[in-house]
Amino acid sequence: MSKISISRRAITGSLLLMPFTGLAQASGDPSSYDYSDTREVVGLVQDAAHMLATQGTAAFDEFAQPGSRWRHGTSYIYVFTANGDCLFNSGQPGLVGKNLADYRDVGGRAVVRELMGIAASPDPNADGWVFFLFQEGNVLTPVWKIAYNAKTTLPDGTVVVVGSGRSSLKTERSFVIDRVDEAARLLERAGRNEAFKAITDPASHFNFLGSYIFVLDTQGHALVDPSFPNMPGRDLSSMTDAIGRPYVRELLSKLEKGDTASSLFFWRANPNDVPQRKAIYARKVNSDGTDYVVGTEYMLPTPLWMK
Amino acid sequence: MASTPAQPLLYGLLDRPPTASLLLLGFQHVCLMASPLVLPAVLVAEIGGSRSEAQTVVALSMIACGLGTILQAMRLPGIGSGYFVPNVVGPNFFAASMSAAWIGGLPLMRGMTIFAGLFQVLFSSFIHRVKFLFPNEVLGLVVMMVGVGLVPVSSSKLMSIEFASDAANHPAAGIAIAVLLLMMVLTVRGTGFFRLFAVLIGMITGYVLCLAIGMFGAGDLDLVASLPWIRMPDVASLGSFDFRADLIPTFIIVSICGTLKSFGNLVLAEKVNNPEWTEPNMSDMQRGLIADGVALAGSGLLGGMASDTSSSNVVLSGTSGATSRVIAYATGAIFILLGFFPKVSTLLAVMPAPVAGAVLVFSACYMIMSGLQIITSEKLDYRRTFAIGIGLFAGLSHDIVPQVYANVPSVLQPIMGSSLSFAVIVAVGLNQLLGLRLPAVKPQ
Repeated sequence: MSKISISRRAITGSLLLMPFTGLAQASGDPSSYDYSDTREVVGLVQDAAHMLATQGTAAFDEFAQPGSRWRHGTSYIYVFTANGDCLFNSGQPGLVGKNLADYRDVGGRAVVRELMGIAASPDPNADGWVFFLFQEGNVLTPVWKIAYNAKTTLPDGTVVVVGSGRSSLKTERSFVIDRVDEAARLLERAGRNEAFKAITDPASHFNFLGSYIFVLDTQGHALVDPSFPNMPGRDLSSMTDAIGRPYVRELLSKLEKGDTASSLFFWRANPNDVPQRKAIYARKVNSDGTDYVVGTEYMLPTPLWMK
Repeated sequence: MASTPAQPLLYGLLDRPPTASLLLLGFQHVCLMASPLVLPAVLVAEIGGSRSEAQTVVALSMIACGLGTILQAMRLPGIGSGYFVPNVVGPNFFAASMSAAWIGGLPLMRGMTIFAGLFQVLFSSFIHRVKFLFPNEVLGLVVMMVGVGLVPVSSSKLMSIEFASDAANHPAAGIAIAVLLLMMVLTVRGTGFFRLFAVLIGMITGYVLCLAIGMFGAGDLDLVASLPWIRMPDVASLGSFDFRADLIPTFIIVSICGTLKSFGNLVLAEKVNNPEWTEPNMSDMQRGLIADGVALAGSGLLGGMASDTSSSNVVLSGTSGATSRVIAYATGAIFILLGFFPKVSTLLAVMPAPVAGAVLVFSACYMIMSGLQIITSEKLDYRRTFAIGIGLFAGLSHDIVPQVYANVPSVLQPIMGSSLSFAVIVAVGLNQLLGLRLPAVKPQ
């Protein structure tokens, strides 16, 4: 059962790193994540980074073994240099040797640039999450892929980024908190016009995993509302969830007492559907003397035994 | 005709085990009863409650369940079946309780829990008048579907897969299977001490193995260490009671499901205690269901989460051969006492998934096979074959492909509250329909 709590990590740390790289900050400690498949991917990439640091490119042979921990199903390892050259990719070997620095996903996200941002970090153990739309297998519609990446240095001194992603990973609270806090920092620092433009850009990393960043005034009127751009200024404070709970009003009420708030609510796409659990996270920020509420909502996975 | 239990009882209903065995048997049951205690803690956390509130709700749930267990084992006028059918925090009430708590906080959850309990008492008061609706084959289906209802949670815990797409945890699954095998071997081949405490031995083994591989680690122990040894529940902090008419349908549905589940548990308890069992004593069943309803209302009154009878504990009393009423009193008393000792109750409540999974699979299998045994104790003529068969089909389809029932008219939704209620209502209806005396069709 996922509990909404933002006490663990993040908020203070998120003020420090990567102002414009678009990277979700990561924790290299697998145990800091809520879901076991996320922990598995982090552990896999950390181990791969360690192998590269000790064995260099000789580790590629092991990474390429089908059915191994490194390559099974749709899971595989990739390695990029700091300037975007693909050194290894067991899932798409045809990319090896190419420079993909300008590669963008179907939504326009500069995915490999984000990896290069990790490599450029002064921290020798930098890491980060990248979310992008990916054409997986024979599926026609692109799916969101969540990839964890870690910087490491080969024995010959080459700085590389190693990573692995899955389309089946669940949205971690930390992903959401990082993106919302980054948008809030941008609003605080760059001001309303520039921040709103960046947040509403569909190719920005503020459009992630099927979620959008919204900005409200403290009364609950939408100022940035990417899901309904044709309804500017709509009043969200009166919105209720599938069981009649005024979750936006609750959120605003919590933000009167603190800088961040989160809340759970029930949502259903169709009137006869079984309600699903969703969460909303928001941060209050002041820009040019005006208070804003920056936040997003996301789907919570339901435990198998509750279905 | 029902067959006799595979092994004779070591301590029957009216026996009194030696004090040391009594306490250990009670503790064994308490270990099982403690695992759902994470539910009230999760519920309070999800509505933004404090840790103190969570501890209070957990403690009051334990006290209410302990009292309910004792009440059920007594044979007071009009209330109490006299069987060892303990109360636990009811997983099937969780979603409804959560809805109420989200809308109106703990006061609304308490008020609606009281309503559900009173409804169950009312519903149970009429059950002896509808005895004809529940012939043995239908009762067998009730018992079987209670076991089937445990399949999702038990499989999830057994494999340590909480969410879809979770990473496989082979060591945890290995431990779960080893614990399950150990409990089965001790139950099947063990005698005396080993049969009596097969589940406890299995659970302790599971805890040790999980500790060894880090599945029961520092986080759990830190949580336990952070709690006080003794704490009086702060009832006043929970507020008063509230009630909402629009939640009535939801709570009626879960109350009916809970009643049917308890009916199945009571039937099994009676069958385990009576080798010559042929049909349920409806008077005992009624008193048992009323006791369960009172315990449910009492949970809300006290400030705990909704309670329900525990299938796992009924199975444990059967497989261990210790069904004594005195064990029920001891179990209830220990559970109440532990409500004041958060450190100990939390240690039991944070049961590692492999241990919980093994115990639940053990229980589910026993329930399913006991139900099948009751069903097949009657000659399966065409009427029974189709009434029970279609009922079983309906119940299984509810769990396997729930999407096909997503758009049923709202008037039919109460019968589809769970696979148990759906299966039983279909079987009862068909059994009556196929049993109608119609004029014979004359050949032209």
